[in-house]
Amino acid sequence: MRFVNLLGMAALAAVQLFAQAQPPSTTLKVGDRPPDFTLPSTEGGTVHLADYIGKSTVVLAFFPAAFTGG
Amino acid sequence: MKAYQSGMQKFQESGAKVFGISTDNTPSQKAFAASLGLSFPLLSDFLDRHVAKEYGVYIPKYGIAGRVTFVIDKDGKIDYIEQGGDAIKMLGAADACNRLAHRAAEHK
Repeated sequence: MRFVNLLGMAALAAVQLFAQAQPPSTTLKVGDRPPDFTLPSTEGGTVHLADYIGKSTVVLAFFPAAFTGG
Repeated sequence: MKAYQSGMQKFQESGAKVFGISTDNTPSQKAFAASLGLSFPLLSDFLDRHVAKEYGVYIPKYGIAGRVTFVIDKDGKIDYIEQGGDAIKMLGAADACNRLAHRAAEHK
């Protein structure tokens, strides 16, 4: 039972760690041009941001790490 | 990312292209995407984290990106930025996409 409690506390601590891991506010502002990039994609190959600009609205969702909430 | 997946219909209706970006490597992201059944690609900023750094969302202490969402309009300008707790719900980002879609429709 005590072991389970310890596990729970460790999980809680991990969650709090991520909650505190809020980024410093981004330096980019509305109206700015986003920095271009080319990155490997889970759908194979790479994605070059500039290839998508002008064709549709683009949403870039930065997230902390795989297998975290959200 | 789960929230984005559940909101994907909204994004798709607005014609927006969605990319998730993290500092994980591609194999981890593939496993993650499969476990959640994501219908949008995840991009890996694993190598030197330069994209997270350039976007000002990098958290050096943990080597990861903060939860920040950027909506970029067709002119290639940032239209909307959602950070922290708000970004997880992605309501603002979906609204921004719909607003941009309506604006585009009016200009037709």
